[in-house]
Amino acid sequence: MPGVRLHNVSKSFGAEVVLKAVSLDIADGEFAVIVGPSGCGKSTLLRILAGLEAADAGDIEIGGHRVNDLAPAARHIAMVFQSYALYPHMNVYKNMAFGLKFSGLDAAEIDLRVDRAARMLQLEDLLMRKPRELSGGQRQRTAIGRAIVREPDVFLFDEPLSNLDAALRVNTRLEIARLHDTLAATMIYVTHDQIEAMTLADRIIVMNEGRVEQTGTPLELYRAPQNLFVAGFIGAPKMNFIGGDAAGGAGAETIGIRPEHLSVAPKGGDWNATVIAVEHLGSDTYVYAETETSALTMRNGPESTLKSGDKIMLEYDRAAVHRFDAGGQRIPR
Amino acid sequence: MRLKFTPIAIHTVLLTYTAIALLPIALIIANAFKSRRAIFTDPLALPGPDSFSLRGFAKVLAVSDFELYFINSLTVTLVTLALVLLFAAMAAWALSEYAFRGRLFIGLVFAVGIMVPIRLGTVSILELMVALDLTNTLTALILVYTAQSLPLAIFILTEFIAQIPKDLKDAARCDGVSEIHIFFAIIVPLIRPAIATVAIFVMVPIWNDLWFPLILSPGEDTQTITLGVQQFIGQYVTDWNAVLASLTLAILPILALYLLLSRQLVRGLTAGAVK
Ligand SMILES: Nc1ncnc2c1ncn2[C@@H]1O[C@H](COP(=O)(O)OP(=O)(O)OP(=O)(O)O)[C@@H](O)[C@H]1O
Ligand SMILES: [Mg+2]
Repeated sequence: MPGVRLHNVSKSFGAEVVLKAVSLDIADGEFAVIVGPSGCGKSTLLRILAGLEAADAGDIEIGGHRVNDLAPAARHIAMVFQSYALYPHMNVYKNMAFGLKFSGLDAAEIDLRVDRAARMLQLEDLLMRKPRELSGGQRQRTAIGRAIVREPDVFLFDEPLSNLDAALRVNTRLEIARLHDTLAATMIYVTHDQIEAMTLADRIIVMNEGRVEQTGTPLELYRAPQNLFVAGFIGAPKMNFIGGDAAGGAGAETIGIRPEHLSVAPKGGDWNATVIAVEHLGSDTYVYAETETSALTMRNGPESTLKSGDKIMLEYDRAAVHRFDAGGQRIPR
Repeated sequence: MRLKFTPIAIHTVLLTYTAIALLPIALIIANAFKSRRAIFTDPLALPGPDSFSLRGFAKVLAVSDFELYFINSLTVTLVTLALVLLFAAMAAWALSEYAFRGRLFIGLVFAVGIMVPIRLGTVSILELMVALDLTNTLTALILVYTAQSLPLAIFILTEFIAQIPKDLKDAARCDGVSEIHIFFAIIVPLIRPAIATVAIFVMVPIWNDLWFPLILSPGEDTQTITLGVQQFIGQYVTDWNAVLASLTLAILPILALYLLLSRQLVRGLTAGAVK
């Protein structure tokens, strides 16, 4: 059962506490995505899992065994780094085969595995090239190939796509999703890209300041964020937060309204607002408006004819409101 | 105000410096091919049909144990080079990669070694070599030169090793590569240009040194080339033909080594490793 469990894992660098008693349970074969703002400890968590960094406290289990004291290679993991970390003086073939040479596999088996990975990642024609002769996407695929040939129980990805351009990102994202289907391995994937998280994850783990704020399926997090941080972090454009009378009326300190649950009122409405900016994305239109007390974002259809300076009345879908108490925690419906 | 140098000014300065540095060497080589009389009447002239002579070379090769000196120098230089590069690279790797007790202290010891000239310890070194019964051996020279060269070599290599991205070593660790293999299969190939630089720094002073051969190994069988040349320099008469010829010959191997090493000074070797 190569699932992954963290129990109260803590880590400090000097006086800086980076992970605060993090506990996680990731099932065998699950695709878990860790998201969170920069510096919240995502990479550190991954490095502790990989054995590149030692935890100060807590237990790490892979496949039901405590691995705290095992070297990275003994943990049956493979890690893909944000910087690719290819061996610059070795060609693509050797980059993939290098680690296998130390695992006691015979040459024929190494060849077989590298060929299979190369075919899977369309690297067959590039096997003799050095990393500096590859494009960014090819380098990234090589790095993924190097992980695949190890046939690990657990894949660890640290922002593997952040150096790629938008189109390549989408392609590689799909490739990783396909890879997960083919290999059925446990994957833990760090990103700060919302779309990557929402599309790839079986389960998203939202971290903030060294703590796990919430875990759940993408839709669970979207529909029922446990606190203000998760509510603001998941979903783009960001959820609108409104305090004051509107919140008080709903029995909350703050209410959250997703941009798609705001609309222009045909008559009546909740707030007078002035449009300050409009973004046409083709399939959607984001309208940024200001009321007397707050700035709101509204998602409209493609045909929206609003322009900046327009005076409008806004209303919101009462059934879709998220309510939060003074501590920022969700008030159940 | 910032001074601005035009490329012409910069090149003038550099060319002047190069000329000053190369002139003595050019003089030695030119005069090595001249007759004794021509050396003295017109030292700055190039060898012409009248003045051309190979007498010096003939004398050096015929009279002295030149080949022996040559082999001695080469042995000392190459063995020292191999030892220094191996130990310095390993020490630099350890000092920059691993946190261990006493790391700072060891680093400091090496730093001090750069600043304190080893010749200050000549007397103790001689006593030590006598006690170890190593006088008049090449081993004595090799040991002293290795000690002398290590600090600077470690210093330079540490800087280079520290520049190798951390992810690269971590990727190898995840790949199950042992530390010793990470060192030899990843670190060493990546710092090859630095190793070549260090090799040049280390080799030239050793090849040219007169001090330690004179003190530790002046015996007939262990003379190095710098020491061997001295037999042509007398108190009253100096055989300039032979001196210049042997100096010219002495330049050759070091020049060949330099050319060999400088080809390794390719930069941008890490290009493509990390974005
Ligand atoms: N080796 C280290 N020594 C000291 N501090 C470190 C070290 N590694 C990480 N940190 C600190 O730990 C905190 C978390 O770093 P980490 O790299 O885990 O963040 P992250 O969530 O991956 O951020 P990003 O999204 O920017 O990659 C940061 O404040 C960082 O400065
Ligand atoms: Mg990170």
